[in-house]
Amino acid sequence: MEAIYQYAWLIPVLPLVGALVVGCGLVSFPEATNRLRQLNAVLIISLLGVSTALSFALLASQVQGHLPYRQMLEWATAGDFHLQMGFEVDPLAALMLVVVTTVALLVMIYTDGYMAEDPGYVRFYAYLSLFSSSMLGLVLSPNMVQVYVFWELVGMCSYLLIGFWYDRPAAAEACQKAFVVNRVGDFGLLLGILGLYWSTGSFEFDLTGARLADLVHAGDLSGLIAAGLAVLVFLGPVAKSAQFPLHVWLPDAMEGPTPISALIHAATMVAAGVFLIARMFPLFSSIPLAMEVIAWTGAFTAFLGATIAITQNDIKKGLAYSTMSQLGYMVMAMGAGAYSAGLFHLVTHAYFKAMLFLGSGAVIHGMEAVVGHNPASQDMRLMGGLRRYMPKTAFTFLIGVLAISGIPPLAGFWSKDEILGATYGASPWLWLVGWGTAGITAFYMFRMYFTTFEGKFRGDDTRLQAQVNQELGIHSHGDHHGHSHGHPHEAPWTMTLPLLILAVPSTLLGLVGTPFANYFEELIHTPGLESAAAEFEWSEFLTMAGSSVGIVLLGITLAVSMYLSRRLDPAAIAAKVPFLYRLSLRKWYFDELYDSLFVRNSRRLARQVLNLDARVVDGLVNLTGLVTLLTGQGLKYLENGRAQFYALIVFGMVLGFVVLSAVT
Amino acid sequence: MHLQFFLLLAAALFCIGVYGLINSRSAVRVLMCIELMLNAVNLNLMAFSNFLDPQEIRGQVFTVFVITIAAAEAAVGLAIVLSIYRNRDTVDMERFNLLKW
Amino acid sequence: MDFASLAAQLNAGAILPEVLVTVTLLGVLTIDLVGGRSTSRWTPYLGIAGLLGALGALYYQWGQANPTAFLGEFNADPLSIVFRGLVVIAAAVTIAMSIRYVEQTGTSLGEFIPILLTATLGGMFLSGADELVSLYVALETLSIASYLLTGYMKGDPRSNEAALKYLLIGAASSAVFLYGASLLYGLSGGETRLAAIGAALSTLTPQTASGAVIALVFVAAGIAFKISAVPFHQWTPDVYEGSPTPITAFLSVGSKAAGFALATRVLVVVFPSVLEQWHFLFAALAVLSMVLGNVVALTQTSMKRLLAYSSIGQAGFVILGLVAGTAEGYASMVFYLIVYLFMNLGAFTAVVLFSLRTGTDQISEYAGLYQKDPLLTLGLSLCLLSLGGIPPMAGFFGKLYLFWAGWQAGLYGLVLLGLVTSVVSIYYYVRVVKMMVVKEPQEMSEAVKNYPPVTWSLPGLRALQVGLVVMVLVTSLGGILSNPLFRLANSSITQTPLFQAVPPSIANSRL
Repeated sequence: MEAIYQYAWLIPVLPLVGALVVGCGLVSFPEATNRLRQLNAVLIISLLGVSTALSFALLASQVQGHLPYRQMLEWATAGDFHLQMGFEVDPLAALMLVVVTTVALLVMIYTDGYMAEDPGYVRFYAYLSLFSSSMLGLVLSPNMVQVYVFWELVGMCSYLLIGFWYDRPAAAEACQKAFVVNRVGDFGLLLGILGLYWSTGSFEFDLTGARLADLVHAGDLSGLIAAGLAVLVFLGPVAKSAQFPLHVWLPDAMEGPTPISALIHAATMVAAGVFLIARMFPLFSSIPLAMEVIAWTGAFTAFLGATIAITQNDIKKGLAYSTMSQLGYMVMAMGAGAYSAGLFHLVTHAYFKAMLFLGSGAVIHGMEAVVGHNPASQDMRLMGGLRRYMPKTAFTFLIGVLAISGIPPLAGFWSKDEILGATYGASPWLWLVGWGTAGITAFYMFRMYFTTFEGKFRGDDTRLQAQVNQELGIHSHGDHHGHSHGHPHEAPWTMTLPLLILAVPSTLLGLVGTPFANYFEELIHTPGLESAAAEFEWSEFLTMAGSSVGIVLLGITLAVSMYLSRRLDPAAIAAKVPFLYRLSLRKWYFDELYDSLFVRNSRRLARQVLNLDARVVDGLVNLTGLVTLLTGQGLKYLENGRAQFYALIVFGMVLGFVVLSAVT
Repeated sequence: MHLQFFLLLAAALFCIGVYGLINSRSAVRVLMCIELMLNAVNLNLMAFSNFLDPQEIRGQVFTVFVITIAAAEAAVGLAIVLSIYRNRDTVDMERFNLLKW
Repeated sequence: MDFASLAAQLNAGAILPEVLVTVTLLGVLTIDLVGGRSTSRWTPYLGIAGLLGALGALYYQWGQANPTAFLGEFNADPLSIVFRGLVVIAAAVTIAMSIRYVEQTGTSLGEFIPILLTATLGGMFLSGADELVSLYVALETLSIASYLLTGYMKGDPRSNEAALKYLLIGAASSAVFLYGASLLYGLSGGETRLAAIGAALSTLTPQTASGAVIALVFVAAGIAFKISAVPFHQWTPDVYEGSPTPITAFLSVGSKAAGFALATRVLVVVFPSVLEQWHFLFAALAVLSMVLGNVVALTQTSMKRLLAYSSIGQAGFVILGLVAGTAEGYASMVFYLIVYLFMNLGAFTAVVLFSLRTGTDQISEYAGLYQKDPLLTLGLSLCLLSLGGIPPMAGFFGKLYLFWAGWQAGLYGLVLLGLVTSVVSIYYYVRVVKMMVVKEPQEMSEAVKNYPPVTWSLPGLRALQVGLVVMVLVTSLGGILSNPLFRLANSSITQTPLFQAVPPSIANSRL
């Protein structure tokens, strides 16, 4: 078994090779490479396939109890400053490898169908491969510096991919927003890492935690500073995992192609924040204040996301807010100390959310036949009754909805139930928020399912279409008559196959983490603690599970009566509580708040600085620049091109230096 | 005879070489002035060799090498002057200023 | 004395790399004489192979127990090995980029390569020469071959003029250097070995010590000419502009590396007794070079002239490491020269390629190149950014190490000036990158509009492409994976006996 560990570095390197080969091809022979469309895809997919196989082998070996494996080499040395790089395979890393590679592989297969008509097909595959490589590298990173490097790399891939359709202004804006917001978090993370190095002298995950605790214990470091450092580090996950208050970029990021939303903004990259919290768990868990902050941030985000998701009309935006809410669950679990529950939810969520996103992609793909290639194809108001046209998609989407809502025995039930159980132990208030959110989740997910797949098809209603188009600001009404008034169709097999495959883990994966036989926790448990063999009590389990299933059923019933049987009119309810409705629809006014608070103020500040700048600083800078340039121009003419003048200068300088040396 | 006399002579010769190098208009004369400078060095070396190192006469050996290399340098220099003359029909240093600034 | 013991005493194995180069040189010459012009299809590759063989031989020489050869004429210590390696690599890449260039200008490769190899040989011997006579002969071998190469385009008046200027200034400064050497011979009472001269100079009385200073200034002038430090730099832009571009590349890297080898050895071995003076002198050279090189570069319109001034400025940065005078300073100098070799050769290869395809080297003609030739644009941009010291390119780490070593040695003013001037330098490097990348299609220059289709099938272009890719790869990865280079630079200093007297860095003693 040692052999696979020695080749574990191949897992991130293989996709990188694929990206490089295709990228080089694109740079040097663009036409030829673009002509070989599917050949490129096959190359990249097969390379990732090898990585997947290796990851499974590693996970199998870790399950059998192989010790964690780590291989390091010197990166840079200067005096006693040693920086190492390498990779580390432990159960957590092995599990994440499997999750990332499988989701990435399926998304890549799906992409072939989804992007078949796009001129950027090959470029998209190159980016996908590059992203997979960076994400796998992040998972294998053994220390904080390497994590930071890959953290930035995945961020960069994310910007590239959000702005993939750079000719759409919304996409360009979204990628800018993601960039700016993530910069805030990354800056905090970098400060935190440097601060930790400053105080503990180490970049290792476990060493920093232990040493920091010792320092605080010995009184060498104030507890507040330690908590501050921890919170700074936590800022990284806050931005990357779209936690309040840095969550605003994620819904906008849905402007990217749907496979990206599934891979990066649902399953892997956004989970990197949770992964980092898990890696730094020894650090956080030694600082109770930091744990509080983490738990409440998560809980609030979970609630916030769920309430906003209720009123979204864009299917992808709705899923995005749901992702945010689910990430909130995971962060809350981490903060409550439920290490393995949080990671378990990460894994199950990765599968069912990827499936939901890919399903929405199939829906959009089908709708484009009706409304054309524009944002209107994502609007749920124009959908309805799609189950008849695309049965496979509807079936898998339903599984996803059941899973995320937490219906036993699907995957989401077990992981969410474990989180709720653990948070109840930590703080009943946290549990209450999580419990309520579970109900809202069930409600909005079923709302989404019903409006999309059930009822009658509304896409051919031209009046509604005009209204939606007007709302979305689409003016190109006449240019899609080629598509218009067709029927939505089922997606090609390359798209439905990944959906069907993903349905399997979404259904069954929860069974490895049931409270009565928790294989998951045996593998992944809090670092430093032996597997907490908590004795299982049926009565406790039944109360917890019963209460959460109860509220979920309540949510579902509400959704059924509002959107399926139409006994309750959603519009009427909205009209009764206009404030709450608008609060949710306008996303709690966060964009507006940030706009007036940060964007405008910083603009005003910038303008004032600019004024100052234009008058004083700019003048100075320009002056220096001008002086430099003029000096350059003047000195230039010393080169008058006459060799003898040059010789004169040489001899003159020799004489000058001799005299100068004689004097001094 | 003193060593200083030889050194002064060499220094004077060197300075004459420098003066000629800077002031001549003909490229060939510039080359000759370089020879003058090298010969000043040779004189220096010979003087030192005779006064300070009469056993091993390293300076004289050095001089032989310098003379050899000076010959090679002069040959290359004349070849370059020749090819520039073919292209430009002149060896006037004042007119070689295509490359400047 | 029988032959075997003579050979053992000479330690002739120390010059095995040089022998390999010589054999290659003669081989290429003979093949060209016998086989005629048709052989020039493959003789360049023979030349490259010979150089790579020499590189291999250098590798096996590392850490030899007895580096002194030819009764003290030549020293094969690790320092000389690193510098000889630099010269050899520079020559190999120069051959790779000149095959197509020479062919396209209609001149003969069969002479070009032997002359280039002769220059290489001169540079290699110069890196290891340990005695005044061999030093002078090596210096002149390098110089005379360089004059010939500069004037290789016989029909081009600019090439002629560059050669004449180079020859005149070169000969004048080598005469000055020689005058200094003769003074050293006299001052030391008839010694020509560097170590003996150094020992003799340290016993001088204060009255005669001024003679040592005069000798120092004369010798330094010769060295400064070779490394084109201001104010002995004025030939540089003219010669770089007029020479065939591959030769410009060789002069700016190979010849300059040999010059730094000469500087290090002579200054450290011969002039420890006037340490303060030579530090002052070279600090002045560094200041002038950094300021003038980088400032004048701002106003250039020709790419080759721009790179000429940039190389003057870069020389200023490297001198900083020399002036630091600590083991770290020397190591940082070696490290920067290694990095500089790759990034500068990469940039020149790209420039050669551009001029092959368009026939011009005006900076304004590069506008919009990204649309037509992404690979060339990428390569040139990466190398220029590295020269400007933008992280994470190798050049950034090189500058960082230089400035750090300088700071440790207490050269605060020089380091600050270096930082300021490297900011200035970023401006003109990025200007070129911006010109290539950002321009809209309608702002494309005429040369780029008429850009020929990108093809690598012409004879000789493949070698150029390989050279470009290798240089760019090392430039962009050399920073992140800098440890091997770093270790090479450090051990070339720590394992060289002549640096044993050098004070260990202040930093090390503190830690």
